[in-house]
Amino acid sequence: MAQTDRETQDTDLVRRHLAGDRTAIARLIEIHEGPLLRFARARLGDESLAQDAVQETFLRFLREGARMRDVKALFPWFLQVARRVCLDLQRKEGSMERKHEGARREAAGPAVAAPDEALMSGESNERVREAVARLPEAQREVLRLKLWEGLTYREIGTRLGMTLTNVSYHLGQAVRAVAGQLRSQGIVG
Amino acid sequence: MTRKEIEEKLLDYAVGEVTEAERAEIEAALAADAVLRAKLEELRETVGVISAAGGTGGGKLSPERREALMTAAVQAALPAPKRSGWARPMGIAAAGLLAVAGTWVMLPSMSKTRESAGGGSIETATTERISGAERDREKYRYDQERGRWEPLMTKNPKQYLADPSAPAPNGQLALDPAGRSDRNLRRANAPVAEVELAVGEVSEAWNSEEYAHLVDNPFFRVGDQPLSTFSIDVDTASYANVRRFLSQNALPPTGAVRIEELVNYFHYEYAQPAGDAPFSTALEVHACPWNPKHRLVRIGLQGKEIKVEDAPSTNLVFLIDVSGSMNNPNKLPLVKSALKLLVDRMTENDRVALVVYAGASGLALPATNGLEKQKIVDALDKLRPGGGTNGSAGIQLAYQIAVENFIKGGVNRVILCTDGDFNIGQSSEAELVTLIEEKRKTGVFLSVLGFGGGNYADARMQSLADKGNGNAAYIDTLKEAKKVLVEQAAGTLITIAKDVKIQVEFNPSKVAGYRLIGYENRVMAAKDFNDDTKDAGEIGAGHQVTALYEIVPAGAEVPGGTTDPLKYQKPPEVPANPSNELLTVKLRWKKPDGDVSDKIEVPLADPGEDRIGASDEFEFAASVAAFGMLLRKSEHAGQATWGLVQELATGGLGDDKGGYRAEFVEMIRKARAMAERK
Repeated sequence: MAQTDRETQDTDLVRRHLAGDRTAIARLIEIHEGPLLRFARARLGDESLAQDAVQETFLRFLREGARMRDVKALFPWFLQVARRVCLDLQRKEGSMERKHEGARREAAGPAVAAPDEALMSGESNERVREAVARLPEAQREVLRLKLWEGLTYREIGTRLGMTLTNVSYHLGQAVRAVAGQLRSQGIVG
Repeated sequence: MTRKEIEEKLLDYAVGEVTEAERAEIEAALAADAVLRAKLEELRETVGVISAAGGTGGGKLSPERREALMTAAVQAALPAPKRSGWARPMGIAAAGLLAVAGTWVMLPSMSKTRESAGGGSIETATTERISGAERDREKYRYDQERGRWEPLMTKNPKQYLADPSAPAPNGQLALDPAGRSDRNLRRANAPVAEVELAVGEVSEAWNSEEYAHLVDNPFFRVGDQPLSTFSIDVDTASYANVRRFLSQNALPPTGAVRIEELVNYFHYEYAQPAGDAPFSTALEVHACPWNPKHRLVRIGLQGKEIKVEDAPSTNLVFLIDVSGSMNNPNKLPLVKSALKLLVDRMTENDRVALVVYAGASGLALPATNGLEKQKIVDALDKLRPGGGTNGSAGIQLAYQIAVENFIKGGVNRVILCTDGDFNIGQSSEAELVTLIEEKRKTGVFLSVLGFGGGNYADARMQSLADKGNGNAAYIDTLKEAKKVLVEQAAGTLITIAKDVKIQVEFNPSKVAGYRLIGYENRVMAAKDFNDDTKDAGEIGAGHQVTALYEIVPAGAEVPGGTTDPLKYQKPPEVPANPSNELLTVKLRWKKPDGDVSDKIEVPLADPGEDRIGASDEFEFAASVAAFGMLLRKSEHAGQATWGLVQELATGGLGDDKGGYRAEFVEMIRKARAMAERK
C-alpha cells in the first residue's frame, strides 16, 4: 500500500523522536490523541479512564517505540496498544468489572480476539471512513454526530428532528452496517 | 427488560445513553451472562474502531497528562531500561501485555520489555513527571510559529542554553545497572566505534542539557597586557561528556567542550615534587603545530602523590539525589556501583554516611565505620528513585553530618551525586551557592559527581563544586567511576593545596602576543593574583594541571584586531633585555587549612626547537587542545585539521597506561567522520 501523507508524517516524526527531538512527541500526541481518546471513550465509557488509557498508550510508545520496525503503521500500533491498555483498565477499574472479574476473564478470550493482520498492516481509518460514507444519510449523520462529534442523543434528535428512539435505531443500524463491512475486510473480528 | 430488549439496549449502554435504572438492570444482566458480556465487548470494539476514524477533534489529553508525557519523553529519549532491581513492576501494563495475544509490529526482543516494563505506576509517573515539566516550562517557551521549544534567557546573560540546532544524543552506552557483569562492562567500555547506535541518523534536535556559553580567549598583546592570570582547573567533566556525545553519534554542542578539561583528563609524565613542595612544574616550548610561526608553551603542575598507607582518615558524606529523574540505569544504579567501589577501599579509619534528597531529604545511613562494608552496601542498595528534588535541604543536612563527624587533619568531604536536575524548591540558585560558600568555611570540602545525560546541568555542577572548594567529575560508565574514585581517589578526596593561581609574565623582547587555550571561565584579573581573599581552584594529591599558551614571537603580527596606535601614549619601550627567557610562571597557593598563600616563580627560556624535539606529553596535550578547538569551531584553530590531531595523538601515545589515550585516538576518528560527513 502506498504511503499516505499521514503515514509519511508519522514516519518522519517517529524518526525525529527516536533521534532525540523532543518536539516530535508533542506533534505525535497532537495528531493521535483525538482519535485515541475517541476509541478509549468508546471502550471504557468514561472520560477520565480514557485519558488514563491514552496517556499510558503514549508512555508505552516512549518506552517501547524504539523497537518498532514498521513505523508506517503507527496509528494501528497505537490503537492496538490502546486496546490492551483499555482491557487492563477495565479489569482493574470498572465497578461492574471488579465485582465480576473472574467471570469476565473467562468471557474475554474469544470476544476480544486479536484484530486481524489487515488492521495492523494498513490504514484502517480510511476503510472505516469509506464504509461510513456508503451509509444512508440519516445513519451517516447520526453516526458522525454521536461517535465523531460526541453529541448526545438528545442534541442529535434536536438537530436532525428525530425522536430519541429513532436516533438510537439509526445508530444501531449504522454501527451494524459499518461493522459488517469492516468484518468482510477483516478489520474487526 | 427481556433478554432481547437488553441486547438491543447494549449499544445505547456502550455509548452512555441509558437511564440510571436501565444501567443497573443491564449491568445485573451482564454480570450473570457471559454471552451478553462478549456481545458488549464486540460492540465496544467496533464502536471504538469507528470512533477512532473520526479524525482530529476527539478531545485532548488533560494538560497535566500532556506535561507528564513531555517530561517522560525527555527521559525516554534513551532506550528502555533493562530489567533491574529498581524497576518497579508496571501494575496495569504487565498483566494485560501477557494476557492478550496480538500482532506486534516489533522486533522479537520486545518480549524482554514486556517483562520489565520499567517505570512507576501511572499515578507515580504523573506526579513525578509534572514537577519536571513545570521546571521545563520555566526554561522553555513553545514557539507556535516555529513549532518548537525555544530557550528562555536566564537572568545571567552570560549563561544561556546550548545552541538549539546542536545535535542531541539519542542512545546510551550499554551498561549493566548493577555493574557486576564483566561482559556488559566490557561492552560499556568498548571503543566508541564499537558501540552500536540505536538510530543511524541524528536529527538537528536538541535537548535540555545546559551549557554556559564560552568565548575563546583572544590573543593579547604583551605591550597591552604583560600578565596572564588564571585559576587552575582540575575538573575533567567535559571530556567524559564529549565522549558521551560522540558515542551517541553526535557532535557535542560547542559550549560543552571546555578545552582545559579535555587536556586535564589525561595523565602526563611529570616529575614528582621534591621535598615538602606540594607540586612541581613542568614547562616545555616548541613550534605550535597548528601555526608554525607561533610557539606553543606547556605549563604542567604535578601535585604531590600521597601513598594509600599515608592517606589521612576520611569522613565522607554521600549526598545522593534520588529524585525521579535519577531513575535511569546510568544514573542511580551507576551511582551505587560507583560508591561501592569507594566503600570497598575504606578502612577502620574511615566513616561514611548517606544522605538522600528528593521530595524530602533524609539521613539514609548515619556515619558508619569503613569496616562495616555490608551495612553501607545494604543502605546503598535500598535507595530508590522517587519524588522531586530539593537540593538545598539535602546539602544542609549533608554538611551538618560532615561537621558532626569532623576528623581534624583528615579528609572531610561531602560527595554530591546527581544529574544536576535541581529543583531547588524555595531557594534560588544564588542562595544555594551562598549556602555552599558558607559551608566551605567549616573545612568540609565538596565533590560533585555528575551522572546521566539528557538534563545534565554541567555549568551548574561545576559552579557548585568551585564554590565548595571541590572538584567535579562526570561519570558515564563504571570505568570512569574507577578512574575518579579508585585510581585517582587520593586526588578526588585529598586536597593538597587550595586557591591555586597561575600568573604568567611574558617577556616583551621575546613575545609579541599570547593566547591562553581554554580556562575561559578561570581567567582572573592580574591584581587578584596577590589577593588572598580571591577563591581559586584546588589541587588534589597526585593531581595534575596542564595549561597551554600559544605565543606570537616578537616581531610577528598578533592576530585579532589591530587597534590604532594610541595618540597620547607611546607603546612601552621594549627593553634590551639580555634575558633569553620567554616568560616566567608564578604560582600562588594556600595549604588546605591555611589562609595565607605561598608563591614560587619559574622562568622558561625558549631554545627555539621545532616539533621534532617535543615530548610525547607535549604532542599529546597539543593534540587534545587542537581536538577541542576543532569541536568548538574555534577561530584560532589555524591550520589544525583532524589529520593533524590524529597525527599528534598517535605520535604522543607514549606508554598509555590504562588505554585512555588510545580511546582518545578512537574518539578523534569518530569525531572526524561525523564532522566531515557534515
